[in-house]
Amino acid sequence: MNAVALSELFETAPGASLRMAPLIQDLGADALILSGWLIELPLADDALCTACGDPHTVNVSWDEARQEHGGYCADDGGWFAVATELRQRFRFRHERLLDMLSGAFGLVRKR
Amino acid sequence: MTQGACWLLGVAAIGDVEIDLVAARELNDPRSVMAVAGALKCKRKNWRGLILTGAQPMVDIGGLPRGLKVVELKDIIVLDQAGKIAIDLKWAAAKLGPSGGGKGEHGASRSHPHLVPYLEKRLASGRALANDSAEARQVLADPTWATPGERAPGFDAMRVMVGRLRKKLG
Repeated sequence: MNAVALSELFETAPGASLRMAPLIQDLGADALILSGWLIELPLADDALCTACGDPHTVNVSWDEARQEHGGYCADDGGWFAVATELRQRFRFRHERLLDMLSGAFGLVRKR
Repeated sequence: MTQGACWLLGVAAIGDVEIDLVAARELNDPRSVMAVAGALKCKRKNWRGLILTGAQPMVDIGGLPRGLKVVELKDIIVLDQAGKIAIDLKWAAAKLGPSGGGKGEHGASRSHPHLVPYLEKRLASGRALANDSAEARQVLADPTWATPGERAPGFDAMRVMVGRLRKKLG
């Protein structure tokens, strides 16, 4: 469990959706996800393009022939498959951290 | 109080001082953090504040009001495997307690080497001592620096001119 990751997540805007991959890769936040610090949101309709190397997003759709979710890169990347975890989104629970901080200092938060 | 980037958690006793606890995420809105810190500073005569912050830059550039005491979130929280947090209160008290340098807006530190001799001289001279500094009250309430058995009558009620001390002691 990583206090630095928790601190970084606290810096995210309240209500903002966070993608799975950067959370785990940059913050090592998988344990925070498992322990409920992050609320899972519905899967995103877009994903970062992994076909051409340029940082842009593409819409994700279901390809019946390939039987997979994927996106079409207009920059010559063509079709590429998108794994479910690349579409996962989370929201950090700021209120939970604030409640825990208050409790640890012996305070009752006013809403 | 919630201003998007700041949450006022309340006033807690940390060490021997009361401290306004503010949780702040400063990354996107440092002005909001400064506004809250400034508002709290105005509210309290003996200002001691806390910004729990997730990021370092604002602390580094000195953008916070003078006298504000800051501790970083990652330095005071301890997480267990279940994701529950505990606060390292000892560390928090060390970072947020009375000033040790005799600087800032809190008056002279009671650990300042010149403070006790100054107070003793003032007491011996019979001149009035006046002020409400928390540090001064703590020094006066602490008999350890006074000569045993020679504690002056009404000692605890005396007030100390710490405004002058600030200038003298820096």
